[in-house]
Order: sequence, then C-alpha cells, then structure tokens
Amino acid sequence: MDAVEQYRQDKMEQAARVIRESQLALHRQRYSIPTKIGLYVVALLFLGISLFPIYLILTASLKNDVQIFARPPVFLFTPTFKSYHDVLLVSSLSQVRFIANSLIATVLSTAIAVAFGSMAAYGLARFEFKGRKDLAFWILSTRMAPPIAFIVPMFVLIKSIGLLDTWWALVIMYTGMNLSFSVWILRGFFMDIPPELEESALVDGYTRWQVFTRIALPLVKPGLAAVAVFASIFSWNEFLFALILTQQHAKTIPIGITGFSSSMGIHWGPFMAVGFIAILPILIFTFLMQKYLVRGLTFGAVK
Amino acid sequence: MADVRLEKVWKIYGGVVEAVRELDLECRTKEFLCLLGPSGCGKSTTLRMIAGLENVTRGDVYIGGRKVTSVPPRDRDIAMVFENYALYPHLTVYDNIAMPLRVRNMSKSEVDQKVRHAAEVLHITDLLGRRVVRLGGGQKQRVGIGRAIVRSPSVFLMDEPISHLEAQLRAQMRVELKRLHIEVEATTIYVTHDQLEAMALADRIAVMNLGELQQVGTPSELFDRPVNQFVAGFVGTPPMNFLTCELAAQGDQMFAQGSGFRILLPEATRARLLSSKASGKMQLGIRPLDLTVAKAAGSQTSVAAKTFVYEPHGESCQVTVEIDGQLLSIEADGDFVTGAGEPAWIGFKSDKLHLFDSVTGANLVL
Amino acid sequence: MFKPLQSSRAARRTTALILIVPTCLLLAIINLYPFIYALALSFQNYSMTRAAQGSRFVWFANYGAAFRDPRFINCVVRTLIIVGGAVAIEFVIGFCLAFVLNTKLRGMDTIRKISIAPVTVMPIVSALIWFYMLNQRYGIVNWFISFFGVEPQGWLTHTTLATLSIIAADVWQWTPFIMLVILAGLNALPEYVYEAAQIDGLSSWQQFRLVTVPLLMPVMLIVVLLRIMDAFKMFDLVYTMTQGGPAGATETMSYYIYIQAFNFFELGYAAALAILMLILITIISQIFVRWMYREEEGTAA
Repeated sequence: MDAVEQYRQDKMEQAARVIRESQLALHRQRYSIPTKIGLYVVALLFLGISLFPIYLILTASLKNDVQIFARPPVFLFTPTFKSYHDVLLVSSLSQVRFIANSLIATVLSTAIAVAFGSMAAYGLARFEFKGRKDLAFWILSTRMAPPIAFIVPMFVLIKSIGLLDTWWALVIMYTGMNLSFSVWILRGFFMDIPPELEESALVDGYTRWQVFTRIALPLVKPGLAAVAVFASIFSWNEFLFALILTQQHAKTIPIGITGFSSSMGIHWGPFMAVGFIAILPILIFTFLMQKYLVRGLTFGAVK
Repeated sequence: MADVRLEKVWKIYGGVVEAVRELDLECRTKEFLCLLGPSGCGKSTTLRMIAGLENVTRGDVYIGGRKVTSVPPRDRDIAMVFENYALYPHLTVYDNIAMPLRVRNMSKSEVDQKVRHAAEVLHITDLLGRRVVRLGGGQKQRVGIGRAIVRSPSVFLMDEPISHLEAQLRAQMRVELKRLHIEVEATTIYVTHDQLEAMALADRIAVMNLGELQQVGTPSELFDRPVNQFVAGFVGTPPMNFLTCELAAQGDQMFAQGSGFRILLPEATRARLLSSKASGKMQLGIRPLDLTVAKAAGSQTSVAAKTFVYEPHGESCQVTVEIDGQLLSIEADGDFVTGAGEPAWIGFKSDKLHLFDSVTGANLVL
Repeated sequence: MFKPLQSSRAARRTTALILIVPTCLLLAIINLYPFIYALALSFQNYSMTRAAQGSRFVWFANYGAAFRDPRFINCVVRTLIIVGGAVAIEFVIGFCLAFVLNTKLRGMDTIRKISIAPVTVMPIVSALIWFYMLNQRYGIVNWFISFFGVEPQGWLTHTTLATLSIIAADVWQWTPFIMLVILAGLNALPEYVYEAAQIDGLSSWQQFRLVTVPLLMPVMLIVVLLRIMDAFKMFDLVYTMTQGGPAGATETMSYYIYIQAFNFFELGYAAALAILMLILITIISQIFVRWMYREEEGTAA
C-alpha cells in the first residue's frame, strides 16, 4: 500500500476513534453528579464485598497465629512467610504433593476434554447422520446429572480396576465432566464457520481430517480458550470426586485443605497459605483470559 | 406539515473531526428533499441532527419555525425510517406500528383504526399478526414506514431505507415511496447515496461531500447546471466524462484544446470565459449522451479516437474510446456496431459543454 | 493428475466415527454406565454393612421408604429453600449490578474485569473462609456488627442463621456470574432499536420495560436455569460449614445422599435417593426449557 493510501487510512481510523470516544463521553455526561456518585458507590461496594474474603485469605496467610485471632482484627502488621514455609517445606504439613496432583489432574483432564470435545463438536456440527440430534442432546444432558448420583457406581468401578487413589481416576472423572461443556460450546463455534472455507480446502485435496486440524481448529481458538479456562477451573476446584476417589497418594489440594481441620480445630495459618496458593493461579489465569470468558459464560445464548 | 431549516449547523467530533461544516439548508413544507452524497459526506449525520439523535455542535435546527436544537426527539413531532429497519424484534407487525400511538395513551379503538389504515396504505394488512422476525426485507421496511406514518408527524426522515434491498425490490419501493409522498403530502427528508434514487424521488436534491453542501436544486438543475465538478460527476448515469484541456483563442473563436482534440466553444461560453478571465488548465465535461460517434469523419464528428471497449446494451450501446491517453464514454444507438481497436470519430454537442477549474472544480461557465 | 476427492461416503463415515467415538465412549463409561448401575442399585437393598448377606431386589421399596423418610423430606425442602433463595437473590442483585456496570463511566470496565474473582475461587476455600468469617468468637462478621450494637450471633449454630449463611456464601460466589452474563446480554442489544424507541416517544422507563426486558428474557432464563442446576449439586459448602446442621437445617439432598452412602453405607437406598434427585432436577429444567421455547418462538432470527 503506497504512502498516500496509508495516510488516508490512518486518518480515517483516527477519525473513527475520535468519534467513538466523543460518543462515550456524551454517554458519561448524561448522568448527573449525584447519580454518578451513587453508581460508583454501588459498584465499588460490590467490588469490595467480592474481593474482601480474598483479601482476608491473603492477609491471614501472612499473619502469625496470634494476629489471625486478634480481636479487634489487625490491619497493619509485618508480614511473615512462615505459613507458606510450613505448607511447602515442612514435610508433615507439606502440600507440595497435593499441588502436583492437582496440576496433573487439571492439565490432563483439560487437554483431553478440549481434544475429544473439539472432535466430537466438529463431528456433530459438520456431519449429518441419523440420530445426530439425539446424540447431541444426550452429550449435552450429561451436564445435568448431579455428581453424587454417579459417585457410588464409579467408586465401585474404579476400585475394581485398581485405579483407586491414583490420579488416573481423577483424570477420567474430570474429563467426563468437562466433555459436555466442551462439546456444547465448541459446536456453536464450529457451526459459525462458513462452510465455503472448508469446501474450498476439500476441493484443493485436503482430507476431512486435515480440514478439521488445519482449517477448522485454528478458527475456533477463542472457543478452545474459553473451554480450557472453564475446564481448568472446574478440575482444579473439584472436591467431591477427589474426596471419594482418593485416599492417600492422589489427594488434591481441596482434600489437602480439609486435612487442616481436625477434631482439635482448624490450623488456620497454613490453611490460609494453601488457600491462597489454591486460588491464585486460577485468578491470574482467568484475568489473562478475560475476553474469552464472555463467550464461554454465555454458552452461545448471547451472540 | 412543517418546514425544516438548518442554520449554520456544524457537527464536530472530539473537537477535531468535522463531519458537517456550516450547513445552511431548507426543506419547504410538503417538499421531498433528498440528501445525496458518497459515504462519509455527512448526510446521515445531518439527518440525525434533524431527528435529535445527534447533538448539534454549533448552529440551530428549526422545525415548523420552532427552534428544536435542544429538544429531545420525542418532542420534535418527527418520524424516522431507518436503514436497518430498527423494528422491535420481539413484537408483531401490529404492535410495532401501534407502539408510537400506545405510548401517547391513545384509546384502543383509535389505535386500532390508525394502525389498520396505515397497514392498508402499505398493503401489509395480512401481515399484522406476524412477528417481524419472520418477514423479508421489503416487508420489514414497509412496517418501518407504517410505524412512521401512523402518527402523522410534521416531518418524515428517511435514512437510506431501501439500500439493503435487492435491485428489483428497490425499484418497486421507489415507486411506492413516490406514490406515498403524493398521497400523504408529507414534508420528507431522504438520505441516499444512490443518485438514481434521488433523481427519481426528490423535488429538490442537496448534494453533500466531505461535510459540505455542494449544491441544492431540482434534479434537472443539478443535471444541466452543476455548480462544480463533483456534482457534475456524481449526478447522472453513466457519469459525465472529463478531459483535461486548456483554452486556446484564435481570432474571434475560442477552443478547448487538449492532447488529440480541439473543440470549438459556443459564443456564449466564450463571452463568459473572457469576462471571468478564466485561464490555465481546465476539465472539459460532457455527458455520454451528449456525444456522437461514427466510423468516419463528418461535419459533426470532428475528433479522432480509437475504440477501446464496445458494450451492446440492446436498445442502446456504450462505446468507450481513447483520445491520446484519455478515455471517453459515449452512449449511442443500438444499431451502431464497432469493436476494440477500430477508429472512431467523436462529435461534441456544443451547447452541452461544461468547463471546470482544475483546482477548485468550480463550473466556469455558469 | 486427477485426484479423487476425499469425500466418498465411506471416508466421511470413518472420519465422523473417529471424531465422535472417543467422546461417546468416555461419556458412556462415566455417565451411562453409572446411571444404569445406580438404577440397578436403587432397586436392591444392598448395604455394605450387610454385604455378607448379599443383596435382594426389592424394586420400589427404597423409593417408597424415601417418601416416608422424614429426613429425606426435610432435605428436599431445605434444598429447595436454599437453591430458591440463593438463585433468587443472585438474580436480583446480579440484574441490578449489570445495569450499574453497563453505564459507560470511567473505570466501570476495570471493575467488571476484576469482579469475576469470586467465581474462580475454590469452593472449599470459599467455604472455609466464610466459616472463618462467621465464627462466633473471632469471626469478622460479628466484630463488624458489634459496631451497630448487635450481639455476636451464632451464624452456623442457629437453624435460620445457618441457612442464611449457606445462602450468603453461595450468593457471594455466584452473583458475579449472573451479573456478567446479563451484562453480556445487555451489550448485545441492538442500539438502533433504542433510537427508534426514542423517536417513537418511549420514556426511559418504557424503553426498559418494553424493549430491554423482553429482549433480555432468553439470556436471563438460560442463566437462571444454569444456576439452579448447579446450585442443586451444592456439596462443598454444606460439608465444610455446617455438615447439614444444626438439626438438619442445611442438610441438602447431595449431602444426605453422601451420608447414606458413605456414613451408613446404605448404597441401595442412596442410589434411589440419587435417582429421585435426578428426576427432580429434570422436572425443574423442563419447566424452564418450555418457558424458554415460548420466548424463542417470538425472537428466533
């Protein structure tokens, strides 16, 4: 593109930006000062309440035992990393094993759910066969069933295979739980791809599998990201299956956390530290993947 | 019915982008005024300022003599038909048309009467019970128009209402809109980028470019006496031809001279040019209709050219020729046949010549 | 060279199978098989404590017992109260907040981005932190209300307060979810319909009532349905904060089934209860789905 064209285009984009901003500014001016104050108060109150418990965990994880229970609560204090030290390095309290287990279970189940889910979603979106609608409905409906209903049969099955208390058991369960969601979201994304793109690739000589991997998949990256985010969150946070299916070796973070509460009361310091370690990765991951969340959250209900 | 007046209206975004510049415009009562121009010329912005959907940066808007510059849309007694219909998607045709009436707390029977009347005028009575999402483009647009006329407002504003329809439907709707205007006798301001539409529908047309008003006039005024090169080239299809040339005087005669041609200018034109002391490089404008083409030289056809493209159009044909590097389009009779590369002789109707200043674009002959 | 297109029917069928079978296989194992097994279990009187005696098919005896079991009736009621209460509050607050955050004021966008935090917090951690905050002696909630002259309350030791505490913990975590979905819905509304509404003469309130709300209905219904289905499965909060107490005030269906299966080892009975729970969820979902279809009928594009 020659310089003159580029200049013209830049000018037009600049103009468009100025127009957008001035229209936004107009929106803002439409509220009177008291209304604006009211709105900000409500929004900040909401934000404060949302963040307060998280703030509490963070500060408590940096307090010593005395400060945690102090009344009135201590707001200014010198932070100490003793709780983190205990939780990671002191072998009797160490959570490292649990963190590792959680990581393995989360990463594997998310990867498999995204892989298998995208394949099934593509199959349902593009291929016509008898009973397609019913199959799709069945896959989507597996999300409805309460986990508690499966727990006994799965416990028996997994025990009989000898996979009890291994992270394989968790990977299987979590993948299963995430598949439904994965298929649901990705099917919508695949259906949005104009068929002409794939058809021209077919004409060029690609096999259908190659069309899937080289054309369709790259085009649904936002969907894959959304599924990955939600699947990870679910697997990382999952409690019930981990409770039943693990005993010693495959315990994940949530189970490790409950280990801090015994008949003698709750060991708060270390708990707060693990708690924060448990929520921090997801918080960061979610914040980074912000823009993919909206599509995932709305499950295609909002276009 | 009322008239609409814009007085020195400016629209500036963020203090920088001048979308509309010092616009003075008037639409008389019961007149059909078209705002015509290419995208980005400011015509939609102007319409929206008349509607009250955009704030006026400077200047004033008057409807029926009343200053409405800071009055919200609902109090201006206007109705608008949108480019993308803007119907209420969850409602039926009946409810869409009835909405502006119900909001004004009209009695049920009165609402019903007016809605049915509007539906009759637009031939959509059998669609009244349907949800608007199920309608086709043309039908949706009629509902939009119905919603506008049902209130009998002072002014109708239309923002490219038929530009999203396919060609045949568009032609049909053009006829409908013209008929509607005659029947309802409404003051209408209509925005479009299609000059054919404007020529067909409007009593007067206001041509805009880059935020500035170029010319206001009847279709024939714009066609025969365009005030600058932009208007000349924008109005009329196929568009006017332009040839770069210079003035050459020879005794009592004046010629428009360019590479490969030398055309005698009529006496009136010469007089105008002399009195205005025009000189320098110019653009000679001539419409394809006002050119003649022949295979051999004659008294009328004095300029030599080479055929570039020949397009038969049935009843007529379009011949594009090349004169020393510049292209010229001629509209000729259907039975004239030629081919690319063949020699051609072009005749210029002397009373249809236009001359435009190369720099300002102003018409030097008016 | 002419290359035959890879779209022969056999090739297509193979590819389709390869794509879909892995998922179906996995789901059959994790979903279909347990369901059938659980169904079979529910018809038996199998109990791990009496495993030596084997198990008999008692068909609908378990189901009958469920309806005569006061503790089960109680847990159904408590579940409905907690789920209903929590989702209703989450919806109302989330709905209002969506509008607040939708105003184009400076900083609202950042607030929106941060406010999703509670949704991502591990439920067990959330439960424990609420447990910490609601503690009668050293919890921050009691410290806070002391400023208003209110006595320190036993949040988890009194029946009504315990129910409210569970609801509060759920509301804290999931209100942002509902808010974000409705906010996304609001942003997807076509701007030009509102311009037409302005010209038609609708006041702001009328625009809200006649345009915004009807157009948001599908989104709102879907998000409430999703929330209800998820809230029914609530386990972590109850397990951690109240263990179903005091006096069964917060014993939800999930928790009771857990107790029956892993405390009493009455697997047959637990399976029957689980099936009943599934039926209840299905009925409620169906009601919503029918409602949604009625709305969709009108707005399907």
